[in-house]
Amino acid sequence: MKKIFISSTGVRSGQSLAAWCIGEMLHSQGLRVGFFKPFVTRPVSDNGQIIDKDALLMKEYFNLPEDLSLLCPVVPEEVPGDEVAREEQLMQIEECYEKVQKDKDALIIMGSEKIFYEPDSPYLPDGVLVNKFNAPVLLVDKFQNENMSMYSVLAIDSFLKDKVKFVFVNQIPLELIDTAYNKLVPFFQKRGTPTIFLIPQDRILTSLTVRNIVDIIHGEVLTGENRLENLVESTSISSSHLKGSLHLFRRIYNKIILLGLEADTLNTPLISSKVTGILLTGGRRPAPIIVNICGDLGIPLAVTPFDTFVTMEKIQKQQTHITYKDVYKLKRFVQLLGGDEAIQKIVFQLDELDKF
Amino acid sequence: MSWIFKINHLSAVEKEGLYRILIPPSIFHRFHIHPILFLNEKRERLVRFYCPPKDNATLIEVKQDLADQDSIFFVQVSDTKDRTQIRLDFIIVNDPHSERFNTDVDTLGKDTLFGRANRNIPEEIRAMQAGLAPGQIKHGLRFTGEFLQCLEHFCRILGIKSILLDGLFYHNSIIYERYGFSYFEGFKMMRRINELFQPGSILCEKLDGSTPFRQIGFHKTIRGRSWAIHDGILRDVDDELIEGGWSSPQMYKMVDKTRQICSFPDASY
Repeated sequence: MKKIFISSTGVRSGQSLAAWCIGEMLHSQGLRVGFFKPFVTRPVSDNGQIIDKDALLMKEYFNLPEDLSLLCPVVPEEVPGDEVAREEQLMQIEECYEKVQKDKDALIIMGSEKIFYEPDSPYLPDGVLVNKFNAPVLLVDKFQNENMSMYSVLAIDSFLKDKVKFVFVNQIPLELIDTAYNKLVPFFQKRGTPTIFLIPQDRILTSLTVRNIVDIIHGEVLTGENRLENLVESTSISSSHLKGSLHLFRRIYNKIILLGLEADTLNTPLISSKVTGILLTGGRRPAPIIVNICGDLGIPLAVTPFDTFVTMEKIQKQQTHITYKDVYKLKRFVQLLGGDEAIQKIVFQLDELDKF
Repeated sequence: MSWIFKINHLSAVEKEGLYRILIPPSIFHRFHIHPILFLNEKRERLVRFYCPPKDNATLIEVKQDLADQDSIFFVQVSDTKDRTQIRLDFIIVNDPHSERFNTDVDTLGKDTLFGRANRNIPEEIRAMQAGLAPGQIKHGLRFTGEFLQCLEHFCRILGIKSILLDGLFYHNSIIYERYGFSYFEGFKMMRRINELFQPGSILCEKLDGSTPFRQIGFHKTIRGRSWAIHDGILRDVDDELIEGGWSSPQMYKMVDKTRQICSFPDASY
C-alpha cells in the first residue's frame, strides 16, 4: 500500500487542498484511496459530535465507508498531557489506522497544521507520527521568502531523517515567482531531494463563493440560486461597479456588491472582476423591480439581517474551509501544480518509494 | 491611485483619523459623543467606519443609540476615475427625537427606492404634513452646510479639486445650488421646471388639488414643488426638456470655488 504523510510548516498553508489533491491524483490512477488524520485540528460540531472538516471532506469526496471517528479519532479537548494518556492516544491511533488502511491501495495521512514542535500543543508532534507510520512526507509551505522556505524544508527534512520527499511551496506572489523559481528549484535539484513544486498565489484559490458568503451572513437568496458558485474576490459598497440596469442600485444605500469571476469563466481567470452577487443589508426586503433586474441578469441577490458594518465584519473574519463542493479549487490547484506532468511525477515517485 | 482607495489601505487608526474629518463637529457636541474616542457617557462607541482595503468607497455612521433603527448621520463617499474628484454618494441626517415616517418602505415592508419603485402614500402624506420633503423619514438636523464644509476641508487636505453628486430630488438640487454646486447635467431641466411652475404656466395650473401632493400654491416653495414632482407631475406635461419625468441632475462643486447658479430665484423652502 502506498502511503504519504501530508504535513505543513504553518497555518493556512493549503495543507487540506494539497491532501485532497494527492488523494485525487492517486484516485485518478484507479487506486482505492483511504484517508487518516490522527487528530481533529479543524473541528466542527455535527449532531453534538466533534468531527474534523478534512475528514468530512475526504469521506464525502472519496465516498469512504469508514466512520468519521475512525478517519480522525482524537479530539484535542480529550488530550491530557501526561505520558500515560499519550500512550493511550497512540494505541487508539494505531487501532484506527489498522482499520482505515484495510482494503486500500493508497492512504493519505494528514498531520496537524504545524510540524514544528510546540510544547503546549495538544497534539502529538507530526515527527512522532511520521516515524510511527514510516511514511514519506509531503510538506506544504506557505511562501514567505526563499530563504525561509529553504530553511524550513532543510530543518524538517533533517529532523525527519530524509523522509520529506515532496514540497509544495504555496501562495507565492506573482511578482516573486521567478525569483523563487530561480533560487529554490536549482538548489533542491542539485541536492536530489525533495521534489519541489511552486504554486503561485491565485485569485481562484483565494476567493470565496457567493454561497460561502451567503452562509456566513445567514443570507436569504432571492434570485440567482443557480449562480451561487460564482467567485468573490472582493467586496464594495461603491455604485461605480453598477452599469446598465444595475444603475438603479445607486438608490440603495444598504448594499454590498460582490466582485469576482462567474462560475462559468473559471477557465479564463485573466478576465477582470465583475459583479457576481449583491447583498442587501439590514434585513430590508427589496422592491420587486430590484429582484427582477437581478433575475434577468442572472446575478445572485441575497438579503442579510445584519447591517453593512456587521456583515462586512463577518465576511472579513470568517475563515471558510474547503468542502467537497469546491472541486473547482481542486482542479485549479492541480493545474497550478503542473497538471498531468505533476501527477505523473508524484505518482511515479510514490510507486518507487513503495518498492522499498 | 485614487484617494479613498489609498486611505482604505492605511491602518485603522490612520483611516479613522482622516475620515473623522467628514463628521460635522456639532454632532459630537449635540449628542454628547467624545470626538476622539467616539464614546458616549456610557462608554459605548457610537461611530462606525466602513473602509476596508480594496474598496474605493467609505461609509461613516453615527447613531444616538446603538439599538436605534436609524442613524443620526450616515455618509458615503467614493472615488471616481479621476483622482482629483470625489463622489458624495449619500448623505442622510436624521433628528433622532423626531417622529419616523415610513416613506422608505411600502405597506409590505419592501424598499420603495425613494419612491422610484413604489410609494407609501399614507406615510408620505403624513410626512408632507409634518413639514418633511420627499425621501425624508425624519426631520433633519440642518447639518448639510456644516457637513459640506467638512467635506471641502477633507478635499483640501488631499488636493481633491471637485465634489460630484446626484441631486436625488428637486429640493436636494436647489439646496446644493445654494451651497455653490453647479450642473454637469440637468440644468436645462431645472430651469425649464422653474419656467413651467410660474403662475399661468402648465405645471402651476396642474397644481389643482387632484392629489394631496399637488396643492394650489405648492409652486411657491421648494418643498411644495419637490412633492409635486415626486408625485409625477412632470410626466403629465408634454415638454421636450422634461420628457420622461424627473431625472436626478448630476452636480459638482469646485473646492473653494462657489458657483452662483440659481434655477429657482427667491425661493422659500
